[in-house]
Amino acid sequence: MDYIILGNGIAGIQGALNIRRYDREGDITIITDEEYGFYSRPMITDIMTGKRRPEEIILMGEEGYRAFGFKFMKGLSIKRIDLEKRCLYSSQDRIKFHRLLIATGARPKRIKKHRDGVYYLRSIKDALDIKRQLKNTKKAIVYGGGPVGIKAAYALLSWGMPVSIMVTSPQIMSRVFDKKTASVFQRLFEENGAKFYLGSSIEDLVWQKGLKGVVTDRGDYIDGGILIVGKGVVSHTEIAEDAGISVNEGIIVNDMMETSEDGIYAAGDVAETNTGPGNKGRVFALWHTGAEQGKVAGANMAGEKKIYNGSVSSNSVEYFGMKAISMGTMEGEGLKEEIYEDKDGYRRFMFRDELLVGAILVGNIQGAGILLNAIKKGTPRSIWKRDFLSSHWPCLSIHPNITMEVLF
Amino acid sequence: MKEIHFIKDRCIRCGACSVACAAEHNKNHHLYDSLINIPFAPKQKTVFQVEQGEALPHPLRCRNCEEPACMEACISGAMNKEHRVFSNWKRCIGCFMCVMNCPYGAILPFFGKAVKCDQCLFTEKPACVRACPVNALVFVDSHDLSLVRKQKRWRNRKDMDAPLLRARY
Repeated sequence: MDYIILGNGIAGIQGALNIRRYDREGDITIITDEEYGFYSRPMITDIMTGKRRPEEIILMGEEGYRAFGFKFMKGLSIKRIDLEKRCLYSSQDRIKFHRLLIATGARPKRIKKHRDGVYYLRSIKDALDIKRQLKNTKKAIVYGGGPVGIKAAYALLSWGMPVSIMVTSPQIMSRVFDKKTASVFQRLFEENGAKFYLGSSIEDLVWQKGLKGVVTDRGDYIDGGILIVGKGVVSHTEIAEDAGISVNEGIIVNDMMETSEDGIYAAGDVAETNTGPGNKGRVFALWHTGAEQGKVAGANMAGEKKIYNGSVSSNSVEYFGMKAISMGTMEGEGLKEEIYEDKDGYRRFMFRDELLVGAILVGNIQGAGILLNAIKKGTPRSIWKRDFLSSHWPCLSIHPNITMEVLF
Repeated sequence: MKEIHFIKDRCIRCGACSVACAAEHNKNHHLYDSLINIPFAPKQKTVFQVEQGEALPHPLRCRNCEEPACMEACISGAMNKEHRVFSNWKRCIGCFMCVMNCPYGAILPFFGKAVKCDQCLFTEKPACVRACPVNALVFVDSHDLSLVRKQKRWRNRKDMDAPLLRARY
């Protein structure tokens, strides 16, 4: 059996590892258009500032691929998938396959006014480009207040570069955290030298032999020699769409991560899942959801039966020593909220009909995994004692005559 | 593979396991040092804790899952598994994805790193097991324990093959 994995991210690697787990014989080929082995994409901000070298964030080098018997083809871009002949076409040759996993991931959303000095942050190559530009820059501008933008800003601030952050919505990380948490982080960033322009977007770039600054639609002028854009990602679906695989926002997959075509699977940032409560047509672009989906896809490709139960979107951040975790849905109809606050931190929970559906923990994050598991499994509230939310150790507040096994 | 198991009927909430853990994970394995170097709360230098409260005591122990959620979620490659799941502090960047994903709450966010039970790698028995005066913590094979549980012998405090050992200090 010939397996081909398009994409070298966490979903692709988890897929390959899980194929190898159930199929010791088959040929597994991993194809990527990048020049590096499997590396940690969330850590590329460290490369940008020179804190780490590219070799240091590589999680699996060439010898790792050899150890598992994967054939690794780097720097190869695939032009076309032929579903009838079951082969892939690159610019030179063609590669045959029996089963294919599409884990091509996503690419950053581009802004309309693109010029030199505007950078996106997605791969090691992007980070190295930014690093080169940062050498002759005194101030940086970050556009986008999502996890990517804020992480880039944090890396630059801790490196010692003043940063201006432009956010379209009235708060930072609006899709991850609530207003209170965002204001806590905003204060921390401001104390450390960041300047925020909330509720503003780019009107024009000031460009004179290189980027000089940005004019916002509110009329502010922001000075800066580099603009880093983190406005979210779009799935890389073109290659699948051309082949005739049904595509919406991402490649549509069923609960076994199989696409509309037989033997073609998709996972990671490129897959659009419909399983799990509230996950209708949902594209997750998170590290651990990629791992979960890749795992299921790999097992199914190798002939095992494994069902994907849906993921809960969750995020964990740590800036300037302040830890915060957000999970599940925080907005919607029919949700009841409960807030607990003490000197250690702030906890906010969302309930729908006695079911925990979302939580934000700031400061003290111990036991967050138990809450995430409770959201995933839909554990009823009655098994928790009254104080379970305010307690730092949620697992201890289970009602005495119910065993822990209910949760797991 | 031997693992730490907790038999809750036996536990008397003395907290000796936590103290022994603090001592074991100290530079010279001396409790006195752990007391003066690190104030007990909130920065307790243990990887093994028992909550004292009205609720049941519950040790946060790692189950060494077959497919560890913490390992899959780790973005820096610090969580690894070789028979046991362990956290490599040289690689850990303190993003706490593992804390968020462990369904047992067994990973603790201390000192900006992911801290978890290492089952006292280089000793014959983990320190908490050695310290427990009532054998509520036992270090046995899961299969052996399930046999004992079936026969309901665990109610007898002396029956488990886990002799009382004095701590080394």
